[in-house]
Amino acid sequence: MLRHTTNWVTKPANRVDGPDKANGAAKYAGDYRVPGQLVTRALRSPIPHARITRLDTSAALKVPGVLAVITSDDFVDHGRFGFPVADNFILAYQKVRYVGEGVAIVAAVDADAAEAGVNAIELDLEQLPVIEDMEQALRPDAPVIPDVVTEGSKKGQPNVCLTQIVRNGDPEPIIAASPVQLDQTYATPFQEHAYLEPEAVLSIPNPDGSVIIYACDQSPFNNRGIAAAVLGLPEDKVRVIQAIVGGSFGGKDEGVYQMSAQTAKLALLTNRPVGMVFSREESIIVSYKRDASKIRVRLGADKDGKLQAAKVEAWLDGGAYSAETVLTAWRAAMHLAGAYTYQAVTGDVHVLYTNNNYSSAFRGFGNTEAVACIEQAIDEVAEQVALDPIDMRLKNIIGKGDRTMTGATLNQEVGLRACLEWVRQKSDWDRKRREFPAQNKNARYRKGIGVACYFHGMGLGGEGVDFANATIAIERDNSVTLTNGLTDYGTGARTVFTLIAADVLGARPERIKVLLTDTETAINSGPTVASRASVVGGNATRVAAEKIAQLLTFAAANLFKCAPAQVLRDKEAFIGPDEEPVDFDTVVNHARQLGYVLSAHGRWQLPVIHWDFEKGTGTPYVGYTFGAQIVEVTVHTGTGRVQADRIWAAHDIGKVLFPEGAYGQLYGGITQGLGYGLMEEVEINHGYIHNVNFDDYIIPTAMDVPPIEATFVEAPFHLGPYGAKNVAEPSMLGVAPALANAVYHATGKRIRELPLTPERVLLGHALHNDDHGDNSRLWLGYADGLRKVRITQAA
Amino acid sequence: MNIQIDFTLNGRAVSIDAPAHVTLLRLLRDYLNLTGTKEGCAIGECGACSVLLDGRVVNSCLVLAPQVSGRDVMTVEGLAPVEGAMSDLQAAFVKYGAVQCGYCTPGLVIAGEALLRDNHFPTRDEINDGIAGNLCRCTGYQQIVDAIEQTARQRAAAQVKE
Amino acid sequence: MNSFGYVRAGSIDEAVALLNTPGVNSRALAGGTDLMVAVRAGEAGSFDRVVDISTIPDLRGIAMVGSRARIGAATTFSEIMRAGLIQQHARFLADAAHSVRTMQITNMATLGGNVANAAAAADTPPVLVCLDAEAIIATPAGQQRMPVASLLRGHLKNTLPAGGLIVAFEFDPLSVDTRNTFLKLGRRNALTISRINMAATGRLQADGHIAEARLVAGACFSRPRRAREVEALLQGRLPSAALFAEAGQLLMRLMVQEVGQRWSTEYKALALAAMVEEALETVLPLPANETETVRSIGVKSVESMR
Repeated sequence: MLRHTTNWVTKPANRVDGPDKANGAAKYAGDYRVPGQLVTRALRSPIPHARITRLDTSAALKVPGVLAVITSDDFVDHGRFGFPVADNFILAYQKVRYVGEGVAIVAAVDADAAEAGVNAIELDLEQLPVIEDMEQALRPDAPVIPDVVTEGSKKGQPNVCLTQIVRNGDPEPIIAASPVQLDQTYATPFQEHAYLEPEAVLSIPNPDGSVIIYACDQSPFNNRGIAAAVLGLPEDKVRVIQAIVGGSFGGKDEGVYQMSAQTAKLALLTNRPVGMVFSREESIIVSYKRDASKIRVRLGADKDGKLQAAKVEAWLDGGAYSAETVLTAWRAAMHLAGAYTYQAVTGDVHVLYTNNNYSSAFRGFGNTEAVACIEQAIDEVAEQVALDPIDMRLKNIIGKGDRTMTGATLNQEVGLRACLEWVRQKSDWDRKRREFPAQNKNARYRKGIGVACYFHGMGLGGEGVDFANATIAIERDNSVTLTNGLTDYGTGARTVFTLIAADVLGARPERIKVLLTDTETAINSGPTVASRASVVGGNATRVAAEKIAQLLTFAAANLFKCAPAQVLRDKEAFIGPDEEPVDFDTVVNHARQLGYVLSAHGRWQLPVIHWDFEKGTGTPYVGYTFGAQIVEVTVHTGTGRVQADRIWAAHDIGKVLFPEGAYGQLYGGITQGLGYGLMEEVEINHGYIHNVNFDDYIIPTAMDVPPIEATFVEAPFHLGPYGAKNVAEPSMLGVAPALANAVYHATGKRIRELPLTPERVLLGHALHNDDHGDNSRLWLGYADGLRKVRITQAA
Repeated sequence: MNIQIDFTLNGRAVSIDAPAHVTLLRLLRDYLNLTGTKEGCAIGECGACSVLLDGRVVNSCLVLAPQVSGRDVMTVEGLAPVEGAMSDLQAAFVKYGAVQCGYCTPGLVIAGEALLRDNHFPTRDEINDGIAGNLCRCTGYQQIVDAIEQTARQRAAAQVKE
Repeated sequence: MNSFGYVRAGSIDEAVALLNTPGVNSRALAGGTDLMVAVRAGEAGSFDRVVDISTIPDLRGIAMVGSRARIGAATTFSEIMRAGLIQQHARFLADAAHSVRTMQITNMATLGGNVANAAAAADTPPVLVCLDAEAIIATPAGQQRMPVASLLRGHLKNTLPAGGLIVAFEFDPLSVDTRNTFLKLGRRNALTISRINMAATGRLQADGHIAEARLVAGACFSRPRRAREVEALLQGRLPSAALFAEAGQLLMRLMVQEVGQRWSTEYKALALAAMVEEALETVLPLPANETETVRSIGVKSVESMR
């Protein structure tokens, strides 16, 4: 039932959780206070790579106030978990592989007792060689990090977790024969999610041996599955309730699952509620990052700038555990050569193990890295053939019916051309491209303007079955309760579900309440990732609401004594043949009298597609979003400081369901892209993170974000509710390469390594401070020398 | 070393016994159970813990609890005319899409209120300057500036009417 | 975190007495914006109590005392930013205070605290040094005066006499024909630690020659001091781009001489020279044909908040 007019969807709306968040009433996991609640402290590894030769917690248990201590021995199979590769542990088992990895957790009545407990634990570590970067990981004599057999093991490179590939023809001979060729390597940094809420979890035991976990997680059902498995409980003995989540951006999966299982175990052991709240330092040291990447791009084009073939190879620093980098790599592979048509493309993305923390999901999920690199490469080719960067893109972008870089045919409306044309016109691009170079002659402050565009596959694609479940019930007071297995960690998904249900049911949004996702009330819908909530979760909500709407129509028809098809709707009113409107409550009450059950379950699934991971061929996604972004900068030639002056963004996200929410996602994504391009970089020296709080790990402030002029190109998407697609992830993609292209326009310096710090812009390379202090060790509790951790060299 | 701290909190007199070395942030959250004020960094870099101290915005993580003795503290919970409702600025945050994950919101509402009390007609640049001490990772600040700007206009219009 | 007590001083005398109580290790607390961070990190050493000096009336305020401008040590950055007297006579001090750029910090941070803490990257000390400001210090033995330049001994090190408390700063207001500027180079536009900051003043003679120039760079020398060598180079000369470039090169060499080659030197040397040129162009305007638009570095135009 695709409606052409809407009452609430697409119109101005208030975020459903807005008032509680604005007046301080909203409870995040760290805000819960329950009687008898214990606190926790962790013993964490002070070194990047070591064998655990002894771990004795007996003395800790004798510390007054300490009620329990756990290690990997307290979990089934030593707490091994991880999907797709089960190489991670709830607490370190046999080895530690990164600085800050949890070894033991103490639960105690207060923080001082917990700290004393941690200091009483005896831990002996036998130091192992540290793999500090991807080159070291590939050396034949490199120490092996994972304890699982990897794809690389067969080829003598055990630290290569796996390689994700695309095989669309053979680009080599085409590139070799092309008059215009490019072969450049680009690099992107580790990025911290920097959600404002540091991780927090609270576990509460029940008398029957089950446990409730309140968590700031993204995907409560995944959390439950892992917790149940490592605790040795059936899934129905573990209930996960998602608290209000203070931002995630992909960052609250694996790490929060570890915290959940840890506190759940401690709660069951002590029979007391157990809370765990990270400080910012603990959050940055312990949590996973966006992978750092190196991407080698080889392109061939004809003299007119028509792209012919691409061969792209990428290496992702996955750190100590593969986590979701295996999937990130797949998405990266699917987008490596950008939103262009080619005769042939191959892509290879290698996931490497190092001792640099670990990497996993982060907004854009591999495509952020891919776009950052390919969009610089496209500009470099455009310059070789003396084409304007936008003309270069217009000449090569994919359209409906074209083959994408993976070889699949695009069967959808494509708004990319419209996006490029909009930003070109709004930014006064042609004049600025022409005039800035002349103005810049001998100027200390130089102006530049740069562009980037992208495509971004929707949903999980070949990663997995893409479905969601929603339920809807009309309560006794005629309010409406919704659940959805997909969650809202700040994205606005609950508001989107509310608006869809309101429109389909013809019920004011104020009647509708979306429950926080609770594994006991919602139905498993897989992980809330890949910007899929609006389309998949939204459709599930629509399906459920349509079932109830149909019952209400029947009830109204019965009341009006007419055929159901004769019942018309105007917002909450039902109108029969005599044109006398009857209100929602009357019809609902009548439906109950008729014995109708006013609750329903809706399930919706994206069409199944097939990708052959072995061959690197198939259809990766059911559809794509598109967009183009332009950034104008001023570069100070004396200091290398780059200031973004203005940003224009046009995104084809299909029909916009919740405009305030969609623009909010867009501006927020652009700002994360600005940070990625200009200033954000997790500095890891010899395995130690240097910038562990917001004084050193800097993200854009209000003073750093320039005015953003944005629009949505609403090319309808036949599978989306009301024609909607998604926005959360793609919004950040173009900013960083557009910045790099703008800096090149301003200075003539091509800086192929992000972020564009003053050092890189001025000198052409970064500077590394090798004598940074022991920030990580300080915040892990090693400053006062009270920890009983003995470190020895391997014999 | 415990110390008695008497101060005005959201318009009400409060008397509480707490260790002298705890921060105002901990006092609010752990001793007074007012959890609307958030901890984001604990070193004065993010503004999530902003409160008004004698009407001026400060980071409560950098204020020692006994420093507020005899002074006036206003938290996000105290801004609305009626408990649980919203002030005009809070309502504007919701209306203009300035709230996403919401974790920075209490601090930003406090900073916005401090700014508007000081400057009745702020420009967008002045608003950006005024909220520079409040990090937000979700919104890109644009709609936050909208909400503060629109509230200033509403308040000015209301004054003209009176 | 170590536990400690709290006591609030009502007057300067009481504060000095409390800070010097025998057998009690006391620490002065003004704005707390540095102390609280250090305490949390375990970097503040151990002490028995803090003496809160932030509400002592005699430690606050900005006024002319005779021909001198006087700023109480517990005056906050916000108060300095807004003070008409500072805007008029030493605007670059207001700009330096504003460059910290968060209301939360400027409402608490004090001028005395910024100097006493003596962080290498602190923003107001270079301005005070450029003004040849003096600190007035209360000790159990009575008050004494010290130039701010000699109070600063290095990163997080001051030369305050034991048990001493800075009560005020005094300086001669800049003459009306003296231009001044404060530049700050950070990694972003707010909430940023200065990689380099710079205070400069300049006055031209009627014939266009340089009557006086002062220059102080922060965060790149062991402590902020007037760059007398550069000032001497400029004295009596006609402003020109070449002269300013020479001044930049000179200060860059002085920096490398004094602090040696560090990991950041390759960058900081170039940036420092560029900032010298920019600062001098602001305070010693070039003849019209050489001027170009000058803006602050890494800081959006500093509009004072009202």
